[in-house]
Parts: sequence; structure tokens; C-alpha cells
Amino acid sequence: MQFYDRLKISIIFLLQFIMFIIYLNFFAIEDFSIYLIFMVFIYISILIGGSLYGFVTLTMTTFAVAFWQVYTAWINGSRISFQITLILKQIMGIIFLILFWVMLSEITNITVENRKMKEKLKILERTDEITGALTKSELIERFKIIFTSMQRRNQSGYFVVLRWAGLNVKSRGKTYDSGSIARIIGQVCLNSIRRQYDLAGSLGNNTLLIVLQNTNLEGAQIVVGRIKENLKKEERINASVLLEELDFQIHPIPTNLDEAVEFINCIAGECGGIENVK
Amino acid sequence: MLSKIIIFIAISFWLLIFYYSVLTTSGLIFRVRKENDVKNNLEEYPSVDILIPAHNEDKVLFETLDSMANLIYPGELKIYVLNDNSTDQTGDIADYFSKLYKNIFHVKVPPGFPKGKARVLNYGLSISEGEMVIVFDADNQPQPDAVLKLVTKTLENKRYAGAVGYVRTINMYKNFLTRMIGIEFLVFQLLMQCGRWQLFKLGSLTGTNMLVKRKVLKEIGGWDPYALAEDAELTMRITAKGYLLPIVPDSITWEQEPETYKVWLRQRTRWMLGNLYIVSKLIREKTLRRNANIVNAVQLISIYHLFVAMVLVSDIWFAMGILGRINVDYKIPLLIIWFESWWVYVVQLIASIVIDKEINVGNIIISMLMYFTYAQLWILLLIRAHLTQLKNRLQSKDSSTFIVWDKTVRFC
Repeated sequence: MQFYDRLKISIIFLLQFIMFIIYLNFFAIEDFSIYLIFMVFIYISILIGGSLYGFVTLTMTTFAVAFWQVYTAWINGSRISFQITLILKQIMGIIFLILFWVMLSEITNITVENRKMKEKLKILERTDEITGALTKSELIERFKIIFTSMQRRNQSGYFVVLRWAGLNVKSRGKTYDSGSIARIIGQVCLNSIRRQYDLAGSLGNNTLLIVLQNTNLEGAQIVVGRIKENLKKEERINASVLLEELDFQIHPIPTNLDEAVEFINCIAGECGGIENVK
Repeated sequence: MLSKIIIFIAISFWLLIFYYSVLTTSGLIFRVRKENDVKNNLEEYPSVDILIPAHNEDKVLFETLDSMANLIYPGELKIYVLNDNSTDQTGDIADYFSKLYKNIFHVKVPPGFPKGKARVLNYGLSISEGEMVIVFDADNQPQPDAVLKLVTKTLENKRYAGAVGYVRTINMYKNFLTRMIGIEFLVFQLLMQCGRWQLFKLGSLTGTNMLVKRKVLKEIGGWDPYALAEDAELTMRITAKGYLLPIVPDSITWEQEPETYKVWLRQRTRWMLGNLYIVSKLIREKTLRRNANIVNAVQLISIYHLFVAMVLVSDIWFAMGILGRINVDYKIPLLIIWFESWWVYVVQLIASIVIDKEINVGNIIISMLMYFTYAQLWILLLIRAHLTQLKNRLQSKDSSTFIVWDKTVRFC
């Protein structure tokens, strides 16, 4: 549990304690006993079904208290001071219950959520959510490893760059990039490369970069052909239209690592675009 | 006499609050029960047509169609953009997607009368042929599994005419108004829908993210082109035939809500006028007053008229409670009645934001303020709707022509 979580829970506990003390200072302990019973109900609900079950119990309790208050006030009189006392008791009692639920929910949820978030974060850090291809930082990291081993084995490799245009809607003064098209292209690329050897990375909304190791120009062209064929197999898209929109470029991987990384950065648009690649 | 009236109002008022509290609790129970989750166990997938009526929607249509293209459905899925004489770039966007995707079609709807969504949907129904018909508004971004979940739920029971998904607000955190609308949708659109389904097996079509079987639509004659709230009207006729409309909270679409008070007021006035049309139709047509439509009628009236009446009564309680008590034979604890009604309202709102994981300090504060702000706007809304209807009736002798479709303005 993080320091912030520990602090939050201790503050909630402290507030709950303060609420209890204030209540006892102004009103009788007998009045508070009903809230203690409700507290047990909430605890049991959370124990059985989790935090949302506890919340359902809390909500039902809250409604029950509201209706009971109206009944009590109706039967016992309508003096303003009496009504205000009832309202104050209710506010303190309900706040006490809410704090109790929040504290228990926080404790039960924090551990589970933390674990889930960490797992998701790991995946998100590595892959682009839409295309399923690697993120730029992950691509560069993995490329560096591949590059070193390629140099050691004295092998050559190729970059394949895929780009496609968005739709310019003049009346809105905006160019839209289609996530659905990016997803399809990304998946087709991933299915068209040797996934244990090659890499596919997403460099923006409408650019993908494929890193092919231990291959020549002919091999790179074969991969491009395979991507085109696999696109044609996609049932829901008009492959001929999409292929017209797609721009394939094949570049040999530079022999110097810094130059190769700079190339990737340029394709990602960080040096004014692919046109400026040396 | 005054005492008796006041006691009667107080008791009726509390019965209504009790009803809403029961709905909220039932909705919560429905949501937390795991057995209500849709399980995909289909062996065959029926063909599905998605109809998207679009009139000047170039601000939002690209994202909508992009989301439609991302829908995951193993069976035949066709998406029809029903372009209702748009004068902006709606057509260009529809063309872009229809060229790229084999299952997206740009359909130009011929001009006609009466104007509005229902006529366009009827046209869409006439040119498509899928077994299941799903409607999405042009500003919707459904989650990839939304359609699959609607279809799966529909096929669970032969009495199901279709299924109703869940509409979330995509621009909820844009400003104060959109936050209030977002919270309102969470409680009235979903939580209480779930409550009604849990208690009465009654669902209401929401106009978007809703599925109806084609054969049911044919049986009841499609959409009523004169209905401004075509979804609620369709619900009444489907329910009158004895069919059920289950709620599927897992099938989620994201929708844009009005970002300005002017647009909100116009949109809700149209909804309220549509509501009045249905109530009058319900009174006129005996065949509609069947099955669970009695509950439906109560629901329709309670959405606007009873709710506004409650707000008004509550305001009066508050004023009386603060000023002392009114001069009646029986002493009524007005202050506590006011406080508890406010409190129950706040609890309902907070319950919905907790269950939909939108709980944060800002939303709690807004929930507490909504009675004093958003709820009060409904009084103005009710008056405006009645005045508009009166004006329309006076200006037009033919009852079929006084209904004027007023399209909701979209935001970039």
C-alpha cells in the first residue's frame, strides 16, 4: 500500500472517530446504537459480496433512515428546534456510516486495483492501444537489441514504412485520422511479419514502421506483398481502396545505431518528417 | 379543508419519493448481481443492420463511423448512414467510410414530410433487410462489444422484442451543465431503467443503442413519423403487443450532450412535447392501454409532470418550513420533509455515480447542488413545453402538422 493510500485511510478513520465523539457529546449513546447496527450490516455485506454490495446496503439504510425521520417528526411534533435536532443527528450518523463504507471499500479495492493497474500499465507501456503494435519508446528499445545482434552477426536489415492519409473536412478545418483503419492495418502488419524476429511499431495516428532483421531488399518486398495480400483477405474493408491510400516505403537500416534511431524519430515526425531523413 | 389537502399532498409526495427510492434500490441490486451480465454463448449470429439517421452531422460523424467500424460482431453486420438532406460535409464523411468498408453504406434519404428521425428510420427500414435492427444517433461512439451484447440478450427469450443498451455522456466533464446531464442520465436513464426492469420487467427504448427485431417492427408498422419522442412511442406499441425490452447495462455507447442551456432547453422541450403526444395517444387509443403500459404511462407522466410537481411542492415545503408552519389543524414537520426529500434525491444521484464509477468530490458537490439548480430548470422547461404546444396548436388546424422536429445542435 502506498503512503498516500495509508494517509487517506487513516484520515477517514480519524474523521469517523471525530464524528462519533461529536455525536456522543451532543446526543445520547442510545440514539447512536442504530447506526452501529447498520455498520455491522454494511460490514457483513462487504464481506459477502464486496464493496458494491456494501454500497447497496448503505443506500437502503440511508433511505430507511430518511423515511423513519419523517415518521418520527410527524408523530412527535413539528417544532423547528426538534426538526433541526433530528436532521443534525441524521447527518452525523449517515456521515459516520459513509466514512465506514468508504474506509472498508478503499482497503478492499486498493490492493486489487493496484495489481490490475500495474498489469495494464505494463501492457500499455509496450503496445499502442489501437494498432496493437509497439509504442515508439518500446520499439526503439527492442530495435537497439536487434541492431546489436545484427551487427554482431554482420547481417543487414530493412525498415518498411506504412503511411496513410486521414480525411480533411474543410468545413471543420480539421483532418480526421481513422482509428478503425489504423487498427486493421496494425493487425494485418502484425500477422504478416515473423513476430519472433521482426518488429512493428506505431509512430503516430497514421504511420507504422516495420523492422525486418536479417533480410535483403527482396525479402522486404515479399513482406510488403504479404501485407497487401492479407489486407485483401479482410472481409469488411475494400482493400483496393485502402491500398490506394496506403504508401509503402522500404529503406535499408543505417549501419550506425544513432543514425538508425534518428531515422525512427524522423518517421515519427520529430525532425520534420520522413522527407528529412538522411 | 386546507389541512386535508396539505396532508394529502404530503402523503402523495412521500409515496412518490418512496417509489423512486425503491426503483433506485432495485436498480442497484440489478447492477451488482453477476447473473445479469450478458454471456456470449451464441452458436449462430443473426444478421444485423445498424441505422444511423444523420442530418448535418459533420461535427461528430467521423468519430461515430470510426467507432462503428470497430464494432466486433461475428455475424453479418451492415451499417447504414441515413443522410437526411445534409448541407454540410456529412456526405463526404459517409462516402469516405463507405468506400473503405464493404459493410458501411451511405444512403441519401429522399426529402419528405413530416421531417424528423422517425421518417428517416422508416426509410432505413425499407431499404435494409437484416433480422435485427439497431439504431444509433449520429453522435454515438459505441464500445466494440455493444452490438454483440444487445443481440445476445435479445436471443435469450422469445418474448424479447429487442434490447436496450446504456447511454453514457462523452462530454460529461466539459462544463457544469454537461456534468449535471451526465449524472441525470446515470440515475434516470440507467439506474431507474434497471430498477423498472428488475421490478416490473419493463424497459424503455432510449432512441439510441437499442435493438428491435425486424419482424416486431414490421408487425407494429415501424416508427410513428409524427412522434417527436419516437423511442418512447415505439416502446408503448411494443409493450402493448406483450413483448419485453430487457436492459443491458454492459452494452455501452458514448453520446454527446448539450453544452449550452439554450440547446438543452430546446432538446428537452422537444422530448417533453413528444411525451405529451404519447400521453394523448395513450388516452385516444384503447389498444395501447395494455400489459405493462400502465406502468409506462405512470413513468411518462412522472418523468416530467410528477417530477416538476415534486420540485414545486418541495420548494413550497422549504419556504413554509423556514417561515414557520402554515395555519392548519394538523402540525406538519415541513422542514424535515423538505430536508429528507432533498436528501433522498441526493442519495439517488450519488448511488448512480458510485455504481458507474464516476464518484469524485466534484460530482458529489454537484449532486448536492442539482436540486437547487438543474431540478429547478425543469419547472421552466414544463412551462415552455406547454406554451409551445399551445402555440403550435393555435397556429395549425391540422393536428398532424403542428409537430415540428427540432434537431439537437452538436458541438465540436
